Amino acid sequence: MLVSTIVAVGGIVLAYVVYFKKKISADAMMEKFKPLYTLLLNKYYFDEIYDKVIIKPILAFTRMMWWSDANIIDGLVNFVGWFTIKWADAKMLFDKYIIDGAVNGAGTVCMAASWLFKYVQNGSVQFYTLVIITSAVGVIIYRVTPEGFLYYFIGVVVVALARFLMKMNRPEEVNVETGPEG
Amino acid sequence: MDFPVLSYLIFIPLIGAVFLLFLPKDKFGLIRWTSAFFSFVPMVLSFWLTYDYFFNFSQTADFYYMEGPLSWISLLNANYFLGVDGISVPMLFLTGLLSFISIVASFNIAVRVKEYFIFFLLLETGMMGVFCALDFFLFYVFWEVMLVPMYFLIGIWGGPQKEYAAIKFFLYTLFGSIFMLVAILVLYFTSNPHTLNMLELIQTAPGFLTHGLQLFCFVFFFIAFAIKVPVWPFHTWLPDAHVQAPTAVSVILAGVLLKMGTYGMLRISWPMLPEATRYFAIPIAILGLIGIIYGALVSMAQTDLKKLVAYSSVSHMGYCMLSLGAFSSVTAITGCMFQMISHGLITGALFLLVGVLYDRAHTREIAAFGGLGAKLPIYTGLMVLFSMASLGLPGMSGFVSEFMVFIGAFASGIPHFQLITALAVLGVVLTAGYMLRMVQRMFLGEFNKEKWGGLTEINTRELIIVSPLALLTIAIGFFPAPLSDLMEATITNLVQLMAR
Repeated sequence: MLVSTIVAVGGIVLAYVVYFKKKISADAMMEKFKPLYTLLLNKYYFDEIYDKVIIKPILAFTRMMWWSDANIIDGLVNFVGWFTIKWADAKMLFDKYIIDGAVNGAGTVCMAASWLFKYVQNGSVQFYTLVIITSAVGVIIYRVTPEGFLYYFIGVVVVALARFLMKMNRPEEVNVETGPEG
Repeated sequence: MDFPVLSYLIFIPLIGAVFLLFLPKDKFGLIRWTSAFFSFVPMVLSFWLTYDYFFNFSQTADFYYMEGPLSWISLLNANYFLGVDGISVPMLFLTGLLSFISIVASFNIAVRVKEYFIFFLLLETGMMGVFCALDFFLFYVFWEVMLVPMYFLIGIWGGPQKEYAAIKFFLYTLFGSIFMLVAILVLYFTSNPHTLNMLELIQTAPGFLTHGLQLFCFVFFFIAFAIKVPVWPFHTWLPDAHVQAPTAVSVILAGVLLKMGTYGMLRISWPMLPEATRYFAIPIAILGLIGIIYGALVSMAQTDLKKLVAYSSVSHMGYCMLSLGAFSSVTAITGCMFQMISHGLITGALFLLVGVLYDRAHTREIAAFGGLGAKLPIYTGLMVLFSMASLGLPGMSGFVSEFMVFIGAFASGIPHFQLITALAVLGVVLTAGYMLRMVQRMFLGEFNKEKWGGLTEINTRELIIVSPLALLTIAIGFFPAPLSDLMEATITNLVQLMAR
């Protein structure tokens, strides 16, 4: 307590001498103790140190947290949304081409089959007779020699196909009712 | 009770919404005042209810003003069953007050006015219903009903990214509700006879649920409620929704909707599944702690004033979660309720004030302002008041609630809670940091006269709607006893239920 009193009183006396009586020049003192003066003038640079060591790092850290909040946690949320939409798109394609494709495919197969089989229903008694005889021969051959039936079957198919193709390549059939002019 | 006050509370806004349908859509004044009337009546009723409950019924933990159970969907055994106790009455008070305030605050809405107020009144019906329902089916219905108007309110009248924010809010909450529905169904099908009556289930559920099922139901309920609160890491819908929503909707969102999450926990999962509550106490408190610190740090980095307030909600609701973790302490649970109410008042007011400034300046960038204190003394005074309340200055409600939360959690006797609480106290410092920094950057310093010379002071209407919030904040801060008396019996009973 004594020391602090002496320091305080000393300070008061010094200030009185310097600034009131002007016995000692303040400017000269300032020049003499320049580094000390600057240090004291800047309050030991306490604010600057505080700013650099505590405030700036904390603010940088908070910005980092914000970045991670917006990009990592919220990024995950948005990713889930994005993924759901993409997944839905993929499902839509699956739906369009596979599921609905199967439905449409069934229709296409039916159409193709009917296109093919309409040639069987040609109304020609000779053709029907041919089919019956060929089939009967096939049954007999199958009874006698099953291996031979395979060759017979292939032969029949080849002949039928060749005939079918020949028929298809033939120029347009004449319309019975209106004649060649159409 | 021959006067069905709860039904009136729930359905007067709905009647108002239907009534509005018949008004011509270009008579803005008529529409505004009609909707103000239809939210004023429930507000008065909620005040009367609080008054009546406080003086007549608050000594016991029973439910009062019960209505029903009236058979509604007999196939499911779903009933129309309402009733309130010490934790729903303050929530109804808050809902009534904030709904009226928000509707008056929406008087400056100029596009699609009629629709706006219809949605707003529907929203009020949903909110009131959630806080009154004692039947799971009814609860779930109100919970979902409230989402629809909210979606449109954000999606139509919101800011630049309104559609994104609205759909994010809606889908996120709906995602959570699905989990709640599963948990409700588990409770329904394991109870014998099957029941959706919450009061019955609170009594019987710990008896018929196995340990595994309790944990399962708890986690599922928790996801639903945690998204609503929002608990970290389910919080990212909140900044988007709050920032994009129009002012009044942000007020309701922060003031009432967030509380539904914590209310749901206190009403349903905590007393119904006490074993699981004890099992998960520490994880819940840690989530709360993360929310407090994380929310505060992210708040500090914000450059948008509204986003700052939004993230401060994440931080403040973290206190609720911390205290909910301390299930064994009456003080902590009381602190949780105080924090819910005080956050509703303070953050509601902060959003209103942000809206006031945005209406005039058309920007919310903190860096764009400075020295506003010289130009707008009343506005600045209110903003500083609520910032101080938010950072927990003694004499305001924020201090009371945070203090109770810390005391309760610290002394709860659950392992590791002292450490968690000690770390959570850091949140107060961080909150002070970002709030004071905001005040400093916006209201102190150099005033840009050319840019903001034309700003006008807060007007009478805005002053009238903010002042009850300021009065209540200070009243609770200085005299919290009535509020804690109101809830004490109920909370003591809840704590006993959780100790089963």
